Amino acid sequence: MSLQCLAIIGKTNEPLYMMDVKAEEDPVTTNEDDAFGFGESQRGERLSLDKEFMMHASIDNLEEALGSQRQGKGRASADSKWIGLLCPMEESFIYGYSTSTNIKILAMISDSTEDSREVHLKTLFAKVHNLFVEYMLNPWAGLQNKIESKKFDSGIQEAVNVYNETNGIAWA
Amino acid sequence: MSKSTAAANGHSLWQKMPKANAELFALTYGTLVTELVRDYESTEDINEQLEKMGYSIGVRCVDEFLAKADQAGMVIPPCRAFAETAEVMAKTGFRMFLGVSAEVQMISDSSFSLLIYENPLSLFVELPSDPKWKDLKYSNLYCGILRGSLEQVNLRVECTFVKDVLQGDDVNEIRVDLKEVLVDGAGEEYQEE
Repeated sequence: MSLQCLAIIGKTNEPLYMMDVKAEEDPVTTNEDDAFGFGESQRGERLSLDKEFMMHASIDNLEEALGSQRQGKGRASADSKWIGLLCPMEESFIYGYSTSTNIKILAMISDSTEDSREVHLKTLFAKVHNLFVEYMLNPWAGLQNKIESKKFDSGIQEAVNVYNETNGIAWA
Repeated sequence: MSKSTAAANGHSLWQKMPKANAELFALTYGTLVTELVRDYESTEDINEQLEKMGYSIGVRCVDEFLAKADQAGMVIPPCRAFAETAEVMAKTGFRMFLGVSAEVQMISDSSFSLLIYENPLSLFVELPSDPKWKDLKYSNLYCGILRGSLEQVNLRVECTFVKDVLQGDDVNEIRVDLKEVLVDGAGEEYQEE
């Protein structure tokens, strides 16, 4: 069970950061197809278009999940940031996590087995959240801009590697 | 004054000072710099403004330093050589105000390098990789502070940032050159005939 891609969505559902783990295996997209403008990012990795669209589609489910939570008891407990499985796609599942400032983190996991290790995923999301907070403290970070920071990229890469490794070992 | 007493003095003075939240301090400085970036076009102007601000701060800092030391019962004797000034500033002064210790590397009798490993101003900061920011001296405030404070004790110096962690180096280095030892005294109009 490995992470295929990660996306961070802002308050008004604008994309802030998208990252693909297996960028080299998807050479199909060209610059014209890159609808969200992530092709020119400094990282050099590009999220393939189909993955972008899958993430985008899952935002509908996310809104639904968030809407019902708000009407309910409100977001008081620590666990209420975690949304869980948003929607199962063809070969992968998309999980969501929302922060108290309505920044959403989506992760697409390709699932090879039935069981899902939600605990590891929760720690991954917590790490991504921390990295995001540290990035926001940089005075040069725009409030609505895309996230462009080498430190953030390397932090995310490391967190994703740790997640993939721990899950690889568990299921090997 | 020996190095170890300077360091010990610095530490005890620091403990007596009222503390501010480091994150608040770093974030406030960060917004100050970004405001300057918005106001001024060239990085040289920004550096100059930061230095001027530092100068005003430095002028006030040295009095506070000497007064607090006196109150704490410490004796900071007049320095006999520029090297002593450098040590006092790095070990006692920096420690007292910022809580970080700096190292001194003497280059000659009238110039030294101040090495700062931890910079409380640049906590969380990452400069954008645009080439126009290569000349921005984010912590240029320190240069101004050093110049201002030394001018109050009759030493005219020039301070420049030589190495900066934000620009990729491993340590922050400020080069301080003594230009002139000023003479106390009123201007010509006040001289008695």
